[in-house]
Amino acid sequence: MADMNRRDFLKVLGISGTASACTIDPVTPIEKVLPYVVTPDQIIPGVATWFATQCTACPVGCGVVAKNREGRIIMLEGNREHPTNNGSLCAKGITDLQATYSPDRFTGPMVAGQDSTWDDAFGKVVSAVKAAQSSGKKIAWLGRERTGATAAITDQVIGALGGSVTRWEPLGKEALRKATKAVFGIDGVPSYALSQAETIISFGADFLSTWGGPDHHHGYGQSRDPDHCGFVSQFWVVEPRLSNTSVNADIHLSAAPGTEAGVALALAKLVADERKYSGPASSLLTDIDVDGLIAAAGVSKDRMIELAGRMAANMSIAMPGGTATVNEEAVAVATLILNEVAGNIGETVTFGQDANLAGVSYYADVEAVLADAANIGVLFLDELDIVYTTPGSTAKDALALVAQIVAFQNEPSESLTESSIVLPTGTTLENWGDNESIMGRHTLQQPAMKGLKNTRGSGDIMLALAKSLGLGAGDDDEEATPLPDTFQAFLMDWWKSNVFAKSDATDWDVFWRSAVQTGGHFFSRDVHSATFQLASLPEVGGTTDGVTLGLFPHHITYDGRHANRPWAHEMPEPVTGFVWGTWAEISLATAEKLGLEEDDKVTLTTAAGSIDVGFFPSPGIRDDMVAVVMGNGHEGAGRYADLTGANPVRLLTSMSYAGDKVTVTKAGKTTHISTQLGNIDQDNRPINYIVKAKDIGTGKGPGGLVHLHHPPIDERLIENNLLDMYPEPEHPTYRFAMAIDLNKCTGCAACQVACYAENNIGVVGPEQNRRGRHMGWMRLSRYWEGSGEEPDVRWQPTMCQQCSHAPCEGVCPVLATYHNLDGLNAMIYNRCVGTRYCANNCPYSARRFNYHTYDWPEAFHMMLNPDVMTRTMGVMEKCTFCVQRIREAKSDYRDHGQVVPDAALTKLLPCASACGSDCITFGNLKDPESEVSKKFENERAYPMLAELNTKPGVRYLARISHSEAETGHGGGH
Amino acid sequence: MSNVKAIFGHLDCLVDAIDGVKSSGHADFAVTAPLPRHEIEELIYEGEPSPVRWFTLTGAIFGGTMGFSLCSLTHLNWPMIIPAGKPLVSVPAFMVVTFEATVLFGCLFTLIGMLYHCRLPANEMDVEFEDPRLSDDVFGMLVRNLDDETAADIQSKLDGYGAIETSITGGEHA
Amino acid sequence: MANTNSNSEAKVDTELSYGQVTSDVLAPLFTMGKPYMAGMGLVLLGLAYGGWCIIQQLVWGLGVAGYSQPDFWGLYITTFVFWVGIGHAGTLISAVLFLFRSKWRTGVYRAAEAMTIFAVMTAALFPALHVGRMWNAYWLFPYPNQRQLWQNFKSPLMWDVFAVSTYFTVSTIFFYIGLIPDFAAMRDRTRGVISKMYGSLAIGWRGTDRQWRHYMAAYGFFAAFATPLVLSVHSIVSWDFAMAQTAGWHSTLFPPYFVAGAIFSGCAMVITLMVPLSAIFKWEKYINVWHFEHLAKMCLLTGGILTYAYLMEYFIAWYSDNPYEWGIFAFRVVGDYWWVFWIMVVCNCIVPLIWWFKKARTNLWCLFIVSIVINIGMWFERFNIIASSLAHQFDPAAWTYYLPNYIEIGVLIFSFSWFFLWFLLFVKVMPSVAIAEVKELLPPPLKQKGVAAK
Repeated sequence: MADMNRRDFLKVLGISGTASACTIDPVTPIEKVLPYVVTPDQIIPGVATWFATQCTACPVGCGVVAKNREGRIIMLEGNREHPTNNGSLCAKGITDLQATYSPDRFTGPMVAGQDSTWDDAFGKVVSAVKAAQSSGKKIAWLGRERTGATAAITDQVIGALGGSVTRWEPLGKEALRKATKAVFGIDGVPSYALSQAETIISFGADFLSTWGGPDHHHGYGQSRDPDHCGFVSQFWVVEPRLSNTSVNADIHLSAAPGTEAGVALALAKLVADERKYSGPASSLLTDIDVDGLIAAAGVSKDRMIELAGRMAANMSIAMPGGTATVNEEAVAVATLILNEVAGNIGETVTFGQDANLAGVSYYADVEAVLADAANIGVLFLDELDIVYTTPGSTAKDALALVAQIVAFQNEPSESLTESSIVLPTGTTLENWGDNESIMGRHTLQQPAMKGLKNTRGSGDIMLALAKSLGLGAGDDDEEATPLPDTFQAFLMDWWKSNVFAKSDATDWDVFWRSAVQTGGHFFSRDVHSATFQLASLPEVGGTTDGVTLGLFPHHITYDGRHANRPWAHEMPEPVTGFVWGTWAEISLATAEKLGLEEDDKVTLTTAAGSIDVGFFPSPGIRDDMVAVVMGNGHEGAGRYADLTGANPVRLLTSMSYAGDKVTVTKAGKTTHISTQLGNIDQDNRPINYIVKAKDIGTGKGPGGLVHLHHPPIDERLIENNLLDMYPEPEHPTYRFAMAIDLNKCTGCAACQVACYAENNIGVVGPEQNRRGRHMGWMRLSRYWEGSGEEPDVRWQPTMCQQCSHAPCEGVCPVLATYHNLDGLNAMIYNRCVGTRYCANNCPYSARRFNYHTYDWPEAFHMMLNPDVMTRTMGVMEKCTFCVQRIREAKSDYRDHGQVVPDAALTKLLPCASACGSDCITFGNLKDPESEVSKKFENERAYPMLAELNTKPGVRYLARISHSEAETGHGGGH
Repeated sequence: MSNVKAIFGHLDCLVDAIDGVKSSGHADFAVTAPLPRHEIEELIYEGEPSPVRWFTLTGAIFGGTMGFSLCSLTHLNWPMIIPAGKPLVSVPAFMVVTFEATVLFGCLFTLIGMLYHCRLPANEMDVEFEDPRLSDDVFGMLVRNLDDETAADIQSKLDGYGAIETSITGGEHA
Repeated sequence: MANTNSNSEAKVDTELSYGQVTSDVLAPLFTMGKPYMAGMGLVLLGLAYGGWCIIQQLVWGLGVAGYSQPDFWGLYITTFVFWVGIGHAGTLISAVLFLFRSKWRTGVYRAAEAMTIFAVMTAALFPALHVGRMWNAYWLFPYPNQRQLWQNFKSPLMWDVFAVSTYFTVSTIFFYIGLIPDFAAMRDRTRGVISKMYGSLAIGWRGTDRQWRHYMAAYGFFAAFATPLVLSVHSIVSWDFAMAQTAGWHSTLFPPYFVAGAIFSGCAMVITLMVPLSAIFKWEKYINVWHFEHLAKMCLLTGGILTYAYLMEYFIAWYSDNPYEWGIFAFRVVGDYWWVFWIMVVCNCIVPLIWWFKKARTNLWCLFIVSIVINIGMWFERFNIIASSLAHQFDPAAWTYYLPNYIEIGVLIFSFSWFFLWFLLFVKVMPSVAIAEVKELLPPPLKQKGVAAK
């Protein structure tokens, strides 16, 4: 009898358990913990599922894999199958994870600022469209760049409604596109094969940060790797300032703003003479006044001749200006001429597999739409914050005239008007979608988690709209098939006819499954050259009086679309170290002249208006140039976006990010923005070394090229092994270690964001940052050693070095930190009392302390990595080499009685996997064949602060300098 | 049986009295002073050192041993690779704790030894000396366990040595 | 204050009688004048404000203080070291000078010992206040956690725990033993409950020959133990820094240099406390210029050692040609913390030199003011060592600048109030001058001269 009862009880328990399991809901944290009796499909507690999908953080269109744990995406990493980013993911891409969990997301559709239901809101849209049609008003679509089926559905429906679709990217490569059209008659932009270029010349392109994508990083990294292609590329920049990209340059020709095009032409002339160029462009070059142009630009002629020599001698690439370049289009044309003359076209500068700009409009088109606003009945705004990103009040006024705005928007934006109908479309992680941002590369987006809010994908909305308006059932257009019910179905149909058809696959189901698994289908188009057909030289702008203003995009907030992501502001901007705010780069002389001190603000005034911002006295910017970061300073675009500084777009008189004249005056003290980097250089300390290019391969053995100890230690000590009082601790199977190639590091900060995402690192906000409580486990140290033509800026990602003789361990009174058998410097948070002695004794300043409990506002807490405990007030924390991932890997292989192979380790850590230029290598030193072991033996490898003999588990491969100047190890000693 | 109690105003008188009483073969007497005077100690104990020192030695040795074994045994009990490659039992690092424990226990044992030998704390001891003047500016002397006639004799003797006052009390020590 | 030059040569007045001493010393007890009440008022005010700051820190975390990474230690450790340093003079005077049988010690040692104990009690607050998780500070005491994990006895911080607690225990024993005969005297001088109270404190002391014998023996041993302790405690505190490899800390010079500094500040503090004490309690007979002059000379000696240590630090830093070492020492002179450095130099190395003139070191006002200047200087010395070295660690990319904020200042005020609370209570309930020992300095009452020599 009793047994029966128990059995019954167990049945009930089983059912309830199953029920609770099946109704797993990522939105509300589960209150009761009941055991899974029958484990539901796809959810194995503690085991992550990775979904291949796309990244929509910028128009590059990379592939990502999303890590799903118990129904929530907790991490984004690059898709290694994807040819664009080869497994890496930039800072913007990782930050975009926060879009899904943003505390400011709309919970559902809204009408005129009031919460509403889908039926109601959608009904209003339909009636608005009907009203527009009856009153003969236009239907218009204004949005971000979309491609593939995502674009097709819009084009089809809006087209059927007789509306116009305008897709525009604020930071699109418009100038280059026009130039390419003019020079080669191709509507598109060239793609640059950086890996083959021995000389890279950038006329202001921020190609390693916001101008182009990870493919540039990849190529640049390879071109900087002597072991990869036998040479180490030289990087020249012709620019009035130094951007996040151009600080990496070997040579900086500081041309006056507006004269870059002239420099490019002069260079073209020199190169042409050098290599006896007689191609189609030669006729144009005849009447170029080299000396005049060089003089106007104020650059050194010797350098120009040297550069021309290099370009003539071997492969090179010339890249056009970026946003902060005056007269951008002329510069773009000039660089294309230069590439033509240098014989790069078809070699390093190719066409065929480049950005797919077919559906992308120019700003002129946008202006046309806005000018016609009064006649627009319904304006669909697709996540484009047109008001924030365009100068003046044109957009604002225009939107006010539109009869009805329908905004596809997940979060507040400055472009929403009182009467707008807001339809939250869900984020990339919640919907189906795709892109073909680069021709032939079809990236697929699949829902990686259940939607957090009451949302509908824009595709579904379009379909529903078409249905309710009776469209789609084969109207005049050739699309005879009736529109399907769901966007997923539409997507599949589109892929069937547009991708599957072109591929050599035979079975659609197999094809589709593999496409979903690998994150898309990628055709490798054969790239081709192009024929030069430019008739006349571009108008070369001369120098102008006064101080020129140039805006450059923030490395994460980009054009401002990521401004509401706390990570975007918490990550120090690599060059300046600034967090939470807008700043202006001004020359040292200007700062001196204005008597600026730390924490001062400057007022920038142009014809269009004036803003107060922080300032960075940059050794790399000209006195007649002021550069301001854009992407911050929103009004009403979310709690974080509104926290940060001012919007420099308000300084522009026209839609070109550079060229306006600006006056700089001293304002009051700032109480907001702060820099997280200490000294500008390394204060003559032997911390970050460089080696001469000519020394490479001299085989002086490990560290032979860099002078490790200061003062030099007696060789006999090393020979007789007398350096240590105690032996190095035992590491039976593993000695985990990391090698970082500083010659490849571009200072893109992707590793930092990846670290935040993986390790639940607290965001402390502007006020705490000002007090120096930044929590980042990885500091991207920037040492600005050089000046003038050789900036010699050195990066050094510094995290816990996992020392074998760790100074921090010895001094902890409660054994909260110790050395484990894998060579890791383990940290026991629960045991920590917070004496902070370990941090004082860490020569790398790699430890961080929780001065408060930094918590996560609603929804962000769902993004936390369950494998990493969150730390509270009063506890010390630091990089652990992501011990949680190491443990996972070890236990996976231990099940088969194996040691984790090197292949599974090299990119195991989020920082290593995110790194675009592939400079971080992780691995096991006990395996002599492992990549990291080899790197440790590399002649450029050195441990940081070696003379302290802490035996770090991290080694840096010194940066290679082409400079002839004698700088010793670069530390000044 | 009874005791003779005498109060002296002057040190030399007291010294003479001690001399006299000792020479007359009475060992069972006590002397009080408001301050330590070497004359008295030398007269009575002829420079034989106090046994407290043995407590001190024991305490110091015990403390030292305990201190060092605390460090080493606890580290051996949980053999964790810690500081900067130092071995589990690193003698130099443990010397500090060893030293401190030596001093600490040395002092504690000394304290115990002293209290033990002084018969402290006590309320019932030497009740005859309950006299405010004795902690202030006079010396006291108590000769114990005398039969009545010797008591009278001693009393007169002490008067002779120049006691300010003398008295015979009932000998509850009998 | 009393006319100084007249009694500048005065030692303890040999005409005094034993009875006179007892009544003089016990006279000021249990009487509370206006200045005393005012002092107490200030103290309580300070405790209130400081307490409020500490509560904020407890609730919101250490972040309410001014810390800035990587400057992880700041005012709290500075003040901890400061008070431990103050705590040195007492035991030095009472123990070391006892072994050296120097007579001038007797007048001042009781108050100096009290000062020591209260200073250590104050210092002991700070390790608890400065840890991130104050509520777990007790984890630093040597006991195993639920998984039988003990502390790390290789950590200088654990050494601190042992050093400070041992020092406190031993000084307290020493202090109490010295008090027993005086408690007995007070028991006999008071009536009723108070007499009972002191009676129980005197634990039945009668001053019999047996008691004095073992008492003196034990006292000697305590002194013998306390002496190495004086040298060890601050050496160990200095190892908190010297054992770390932070540039500017990692120096074998530290232990002697810290001990000298401790005695320097300790003796100065004794002067600061004793000058008003003897003036207010009319104790010129017992504590007077004779004592102060000796203390001033002690300061001159240790101050000299300190100045030498400063110079030697710079020499070593320069001679080592170690960029980090030299970097930090240069930074201290001309960097963000230049003002701290120069306050330190002026207060510790230059101002005290005035005491080389006898006129200056026998003038009570000069003694009083300079002694305060010295203690200001010594506080800034510790701040200079801690804040500057951490602000400029090895990696320039992580440099910062730290200043204490109002919370930390509040806690500093709390510490002074806490110290003076105990001291003010002490002078009213215990004899601040050792009655029995002062009597030892007096010639014993004799009927005919020369007998005492027996």
